[in-house]
Amino acid sequence: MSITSDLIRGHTESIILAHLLVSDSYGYQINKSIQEKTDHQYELKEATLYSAFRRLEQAECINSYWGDQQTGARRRYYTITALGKAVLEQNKKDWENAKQLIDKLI
Amino acid sequence: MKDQLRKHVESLFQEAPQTKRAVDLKEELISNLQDRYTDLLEQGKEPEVAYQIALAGIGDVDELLKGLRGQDVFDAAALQRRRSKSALLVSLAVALYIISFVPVILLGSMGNAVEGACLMFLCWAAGTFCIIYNVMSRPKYVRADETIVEEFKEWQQEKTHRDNVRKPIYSIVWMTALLAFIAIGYFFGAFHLAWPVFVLALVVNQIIRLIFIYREEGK
Repeated sequence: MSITSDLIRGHTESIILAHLLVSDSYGYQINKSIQEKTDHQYELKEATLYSAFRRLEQAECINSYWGDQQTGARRRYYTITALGKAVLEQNKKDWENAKQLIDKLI
Repeated sequence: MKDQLRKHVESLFQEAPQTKRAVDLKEELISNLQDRYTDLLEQGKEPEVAYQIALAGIGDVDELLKGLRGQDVFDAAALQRRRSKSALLVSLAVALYIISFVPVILLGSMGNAVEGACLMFLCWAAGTFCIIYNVMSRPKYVRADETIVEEFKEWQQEKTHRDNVRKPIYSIVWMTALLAFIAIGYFFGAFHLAWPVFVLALVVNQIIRLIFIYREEGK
């Protein structure tokens, strides 16, 4: 599990961007969706998730806003920017290339 | 249990700088942990187990805190820009203070002492504006080292206290000089001869400053 974690960690930003491409979302929802899609084989640590949010926000790939929450604590929602979409597109291409190369090599 | 989650996160953030970003991040983390906790309960987990799972999911908080500090402290390029801007403003202010005497001397020798004095005050106003703007627009630095923060705070408080004592004295000297200037100029019709009172005021202020420094070192 730890080896796959290391492999996937480098793609945390792309994974987040891919989720935000579908719709605006907040931290826990993204993590939950990651768990569901991977049949609970993979989940992000909160710290990893929020570090990635901050990096993406600084790079202006995403924006955030506080949602209206009737009950419980306030949720911070994230939305993808045009730059974010372009970055995701590029990352996908890079990943495709890397995948093909590594398939040839191992 | 939810409150316990909040307490736990707050204790994790104790070392974090007290910035809006840090507070936002903390709230975000708490809200997400509580969501996760609620979900785990709905899946039929025992409260204690759900609590432990939620906590285990946080991961390495140091990574987050480092990010919070990093950007607040080490933005070398911005710091450099800030320094050169600050130097420029201070130099400009000093230049204005020095130049301010030129119109007084020139216009004073031509018998237009009032205009000269007005120009001098305008120069002072501009110079003072530069200095105040420089101080007010300086960003507050958040140091990574807690002890430095404490020392700095202490020093700053002390300095504020000192300034509170000194500033009125300086102001009184300048106001006295201004009154003397107007009095000499008005009653003796000698504005062109009265300007040295400002130089005198400057000298007096410097002497007062020296006395303060001398006394402080004697402590």
